[in-house]
Amino acid sequence: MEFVDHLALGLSTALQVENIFYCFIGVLLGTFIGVLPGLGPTATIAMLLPITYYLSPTASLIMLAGIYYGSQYGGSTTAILMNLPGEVSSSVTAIDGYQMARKGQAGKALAIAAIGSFVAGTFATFVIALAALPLSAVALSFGSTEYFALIVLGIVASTALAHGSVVRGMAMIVTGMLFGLVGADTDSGTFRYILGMIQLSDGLDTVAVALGIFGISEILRNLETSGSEGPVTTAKITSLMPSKEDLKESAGPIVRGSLLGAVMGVLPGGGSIISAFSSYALEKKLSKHPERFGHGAIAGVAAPESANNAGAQTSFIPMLTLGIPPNALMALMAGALMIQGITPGPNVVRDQPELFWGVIASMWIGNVMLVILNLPLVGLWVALLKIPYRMLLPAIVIFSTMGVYTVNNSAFDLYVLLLFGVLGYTFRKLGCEVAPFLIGFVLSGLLETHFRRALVFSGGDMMTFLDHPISAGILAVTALIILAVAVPAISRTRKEAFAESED
Amino acid sequence: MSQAGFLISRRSVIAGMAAGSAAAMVAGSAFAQQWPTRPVTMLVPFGPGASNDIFTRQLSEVLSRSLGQPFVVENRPGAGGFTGALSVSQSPADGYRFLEMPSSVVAFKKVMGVNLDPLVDLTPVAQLATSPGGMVVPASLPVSSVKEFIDFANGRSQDTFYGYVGVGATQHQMAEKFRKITGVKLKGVNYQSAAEATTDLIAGRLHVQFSTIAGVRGQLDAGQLKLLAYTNDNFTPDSPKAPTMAEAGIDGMQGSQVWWGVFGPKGLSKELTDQMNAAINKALDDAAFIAVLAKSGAIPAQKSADGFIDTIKQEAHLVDEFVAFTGTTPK
Amino acid sequence: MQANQKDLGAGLLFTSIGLFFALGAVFGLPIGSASSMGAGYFPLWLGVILTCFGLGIFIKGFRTAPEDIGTVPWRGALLLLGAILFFALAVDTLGALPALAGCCFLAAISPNDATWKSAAAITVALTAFCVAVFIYALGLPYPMIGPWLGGR
Repeated sequence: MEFVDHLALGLSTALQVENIFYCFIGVLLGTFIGVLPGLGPTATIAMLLPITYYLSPTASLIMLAGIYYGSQYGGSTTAILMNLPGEVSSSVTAIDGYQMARKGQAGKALAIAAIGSFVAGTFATFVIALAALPLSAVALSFGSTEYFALIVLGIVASTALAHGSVVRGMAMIVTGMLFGLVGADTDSGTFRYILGMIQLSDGLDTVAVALGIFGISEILRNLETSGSEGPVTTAKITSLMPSKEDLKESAGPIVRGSLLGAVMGVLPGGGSIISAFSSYALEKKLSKHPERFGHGAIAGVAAPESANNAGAQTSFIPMLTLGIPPNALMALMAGALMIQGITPGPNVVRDQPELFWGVIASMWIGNVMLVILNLPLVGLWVALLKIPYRMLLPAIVIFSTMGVYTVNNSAFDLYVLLLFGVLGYTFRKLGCEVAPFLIGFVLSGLLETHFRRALVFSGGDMMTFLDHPISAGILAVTALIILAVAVPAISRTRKEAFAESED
Repeated sequence: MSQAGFLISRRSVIAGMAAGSAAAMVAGSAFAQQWPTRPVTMLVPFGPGASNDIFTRQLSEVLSRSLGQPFVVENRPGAGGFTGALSVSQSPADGYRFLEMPSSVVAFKKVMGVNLDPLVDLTPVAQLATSPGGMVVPASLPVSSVKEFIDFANGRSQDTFYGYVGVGATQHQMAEKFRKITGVKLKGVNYQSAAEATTDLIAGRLHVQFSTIAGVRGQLDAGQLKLLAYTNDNFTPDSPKAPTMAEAGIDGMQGSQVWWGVFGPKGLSKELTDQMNAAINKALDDAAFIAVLAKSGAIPAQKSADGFIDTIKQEAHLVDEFVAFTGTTPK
Repeated sequence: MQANQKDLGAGLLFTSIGLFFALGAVFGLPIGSASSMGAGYFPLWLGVILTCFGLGIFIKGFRTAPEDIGTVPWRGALLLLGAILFFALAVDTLGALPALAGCCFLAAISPNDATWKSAAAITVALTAFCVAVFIYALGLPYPMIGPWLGGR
């Protein structure tokens, strides 16, 4: 069987001492930059790029890939411990992960995140090995019409992120969408709402907005109570590892999250963002106890973490099979290949099979390393929470600040951080959750761009969304969700909203 | 703190990895001189991963070796490169901060309407490389020459679409110029990233794109895209074969190309400009650097600072033309 | 006050954000139509929708049980926001070292139970850690001492 030959070739390449070594360095480095909020894998890979010139092409790609998925792995740590999501996808993990930490279950949350990520990583590795080429056809079949439908589905699903009032949740999505439109309009280049600040022409920086609205607002809330015991440490820390019931409860979410993440990760135009929170929404709909979501449901950590990690890995498919780097990070990896004299593109599979399959096999080995590396670290991270909050606070502040600053080396982004910290705090004081805001913020620009581009292609004909079978199918699913679920959900969550005053 | 153990292991790991380049650095610092005596910043006004970012990283590596001081790449993206360009423009002209920027530097004032003229607010130091535009169509399109493409587009009842990334960017200029010269029916679609545009081109939703060869080399080699013509004959020998626009019977596209150059802050002294120019031109002989450029379809341009200024003036002329016939107004 | 302060506040906030974007679109951006949307089309309608949500929540505030927003930790909040602001202002002028130290210190004294002594100790430790990690280990290109203090 061809697949076995490929895997054997891949494993024999990935298991060479040099490659194992660089794989380890990659995941180690990745875990650390993932844990430091803000300092992303992109900046790290950029700094390491010239060094890769001294490595073999396979080793350098293995190391860079390790940094990437290692950082996805590490990124959930601060989201769970301190409500500091370094990127959009881990903000979903933060919703329930941080609540678990507040209940003294930080160890459990971290462990389930690690286990979920490992399962998802393993699954995604096999998906890439088995179906990279057919999946690249899926990526190609998604044009603006299809993306528009997908994003509409995502926004509809994201109302599930709110666990309080549905009206407030929807208002927060729309608020986020409005702030997401700040900057140059992609279609015409017209500047919108930049108030004379040219720094805003590319829009508000996502990391600054995410860290502000989650992290800084959380610190402000914690200052309300600042006794030397922080709110995180007030609960007694219970067992570090998930119990059998926890594992049983997480199994379904992990499997479904991996599947969803693996498929959506292939779509470069927003698929990976949507996968994390649609898997969260899916689990909430499927759960027997949807009311637990937002208050520390373990499935609410397991599902998005699995989706996130599976997606991180399958997002290699467009680059490896089509030669199209879907984001800056992949572009850097393509750059690493170019430095080595290899043209990234569809021919890599044919001309450099040991590179292609070696990198894929190394992802699985890297995932094994990550789980071995991370499970023992859980104890260490949880121990961090025993530090009095007054000592932890300056560390959180400085890491967030540095994290935001290092993204663009721009002090302006720190003003954005401040503004959204205050705004996030105000919203939360007024009983509005901030997670839907971030989803709206990330998706509105994409929604608008794809909508308008689809209409350019169709000559202004709205029927284009129903003429394309894929988008028509997705929109039909969306309509079904609205019809079948929204009505009872609204009445149910209304009751909850009255039952609870403060989250 | 309890992280200390990991910190140490990580630092030594980085040190170990850096050792290779550090050794090379020491060996290369041959000729003594006044400048540079401390690390030099090479500012890339885009995020990591753009082709000019990769060029600059490789260039900095070579310069670190030849000038004996680390050349550090700093990314400062924002506003199509304006944020970074402005920061260099306002830096002290002491020779420790340079900007690497493609030809779009000329479009700031004329297309974006922000106040930064590369000839006034920056000091042009050296041109790095140039790359002609390639006219690229999906493999599925039933045309094999520029002429056939024009007939195809004009004979269709539906619209024919070209893609570009950013209003007024070089690709946009090339496509509009082509449309102007040939009178072909074309409609432009703006994209946020080259990746999205290339995906739509391969899938056949777009019918043509003017691109640097770098962006589409892999897809050309794999037969997913077809190259119909180059804007001029200034391409690397191993580039895919195709006629130039002039050979294909289209006159007036020769000047359309992408270039990359290095700028110093406003008012950089002639002495420092010449020293940096010489160092860059020497770096353009480095085999590894040439290889990185060649992979992107770019060929080294070893020019004096004055020669670079002429290139900028020509580019400014092209952008003026573009603004005139598209009626683009600065925002 | 009799009304639900949370609802009133949220309603006002949503309404003003909605109006800001909607009016900004009407007065400053081309609107276009559904089939050929201008830059203002999306923000206009989103702004209108948000304004409606906001008004609805505001009105609801008079009908629901009174609820207040609780205390705001003014002293801590100002120090905390000041810490980030200080970093933003200082990093390009005074340099990374003073920016880090100042930011750490302001953040360290922001909790009510912080003492000057422990804040100073935290500042020293954390600044050293950041310099070691960001400047040395990761090699970020920020000058330690900025131009205002005689560095570059």
